[in-house]
Amino acid sequence: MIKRRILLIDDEPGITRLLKLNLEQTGRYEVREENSGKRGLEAAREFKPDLILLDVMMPGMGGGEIAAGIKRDPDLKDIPIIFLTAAVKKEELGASVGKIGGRIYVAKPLDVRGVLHLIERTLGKKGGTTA
Amino acid sequence: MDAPPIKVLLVEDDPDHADSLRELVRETPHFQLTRAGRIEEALRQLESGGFDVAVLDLTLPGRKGLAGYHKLRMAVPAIPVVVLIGPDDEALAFQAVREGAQEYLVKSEFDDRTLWRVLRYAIERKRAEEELRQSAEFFRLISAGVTDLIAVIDRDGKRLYNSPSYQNSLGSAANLQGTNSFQEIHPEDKEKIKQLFQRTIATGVGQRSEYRMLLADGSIRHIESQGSVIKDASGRTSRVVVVSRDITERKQQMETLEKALCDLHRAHQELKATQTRLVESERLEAVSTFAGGIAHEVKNPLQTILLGVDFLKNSLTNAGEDARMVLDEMDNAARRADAVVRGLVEFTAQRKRHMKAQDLSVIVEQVLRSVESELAGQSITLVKELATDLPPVRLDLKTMKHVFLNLLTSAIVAMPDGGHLSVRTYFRRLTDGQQGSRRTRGQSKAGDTFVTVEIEDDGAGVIESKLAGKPNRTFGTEMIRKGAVDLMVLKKVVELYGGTIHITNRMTGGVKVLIMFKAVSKE
Repeated sequence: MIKRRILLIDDEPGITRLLKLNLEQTGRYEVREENSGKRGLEAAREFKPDLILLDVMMPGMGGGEIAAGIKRDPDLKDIPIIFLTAAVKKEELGASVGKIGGRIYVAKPLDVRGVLHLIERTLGKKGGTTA
Repeated sequence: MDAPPIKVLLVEDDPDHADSLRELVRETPHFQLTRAGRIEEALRQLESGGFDVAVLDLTLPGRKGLAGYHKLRMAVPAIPVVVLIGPDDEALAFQAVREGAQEYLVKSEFDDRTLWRVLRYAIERKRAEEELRQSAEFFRLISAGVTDLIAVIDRDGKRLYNSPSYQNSLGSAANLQGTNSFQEIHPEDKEKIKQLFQRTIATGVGQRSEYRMLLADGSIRHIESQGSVIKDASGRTSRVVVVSRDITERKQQMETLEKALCDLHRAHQELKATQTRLVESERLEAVSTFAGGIAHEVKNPLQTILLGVDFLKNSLTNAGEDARMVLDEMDNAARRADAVVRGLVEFTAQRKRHMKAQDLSVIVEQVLRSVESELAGQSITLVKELATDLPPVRLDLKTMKHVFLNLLTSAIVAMPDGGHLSVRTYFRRLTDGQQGSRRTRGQSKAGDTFVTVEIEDDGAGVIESKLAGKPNRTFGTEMIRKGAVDLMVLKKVVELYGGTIHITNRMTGGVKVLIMFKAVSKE
């Protein structure tokens, strides 16, 4: 079974490391973590992930900027991005997972099962369209 | 008769008459006689001075009458004048005296002693008249100059004298003479002033008074008067002198000043209230920013712990029962902390807070409307008793709506299969002996009014014991309620806005929440 590649970009190393461990624990994913926006964008080009988990609020280059960079890159533009956000606005994000303006958001604190479910759904959908 | 000689100017055109008079006084040293043949010459001499008296012959042929006298009087008003007349001219003499001549002599009917006495008398009389005239003039000048109203009235209240200053209010002082001095006093004040006047007459002691005058044009003037009495020889009060002052403008100025002072006071109060509100808002802003900042800092470590616990749970498949329990406890604790942090973030989100006087019934009504469909969907019966006369409380509308929405949602979630929700608002004024009750944290005093919102449900689950006050049921295996926002956060938010929250697990099941705020005192 081919492991799908997931790139984690969050400025908090504790979170990326443990999320990486949780994802790898399933045995289905190969995970790479980055803790800055700049390194994250470089890693995307180099690692060519199937999916990116991207923190919205980061010092320096923020999630929005990285996403724009990815969308501009012809090689990367089709990679689905799941945004991780701490700025929960109940009225914006009815549940812990939601879509705003076409973007997929997942609210912090992350619930591992919820994140896994979302990743699988997103990858499955993509796989379905590209197959 | 050692006095210096009287210097006489004799105005006499008949040299014979002049001679006979000169003859009369020749023997005595008491006269120094000068003659002027014509009136014009007399005027010249008199104007150059040095004469004590003028003796004027009125029987000048062809000019009989007072024409010469008038000329002389007009040109030299200060000189005493004695007129000489013929035996049949007494009427003319009286006329001259009426018009200011001091004396008259009938030709050939006097000797030197009589002449001396008459001239001396004329001089003295003229001096006395002059003094009187001067003092009258002096008084006239004073009374014309004063703006105070001076009146002299008799025992019956009739006016004997009014100063010219009365012109401005009651009209010509001359027309006032003899009129009733009470007639212009305002009907409502008249009796009081009459009594005061009677007391002045009876006691001889002048009184001070303030009253209104109703003028002919309908206007009202405020007058301040001070009376004093003039007594006759027997010591009986014969007249009353009243010095008055029109204080209408002063009164108006006082009123304006008082109003200005009142306005100033109000403005000051408003400023103080605004300042208090600003300080209040700033404090809330600062507390919120601080709490929000801390919450953000705690969020990431918490996330790490939660992810770590998840990982460990999945890794330790062969772990013992104890290890699993420890992990579950850690998971619960971390989620609880996370709920608090999320609640904090939610309530401290960046937005302006507006501390305003609000009607809690209106707020509760609005929040109830927003959960109408949930109530209907779960067949929850709502009992609503909202007071329509609540005194206002000061709080931030959005925050409080949020608090009530959370409390109501928590109650609704606890009644998935229907139930009863009762929402009441009411207020109570603390009386003596109720001050410093535990619920109001000792910040209350007698006379303070508290507005209460009471939310009661008969749903499932209980509130954990450290949050719920008495009476408490003994916990069985009931589930502990968890709201979207941690109750502890709600409690702290309510307290931050100066309120108190009191939660009870009802003996018959369900939860009762009381939220109390101190009413704004109206100024």
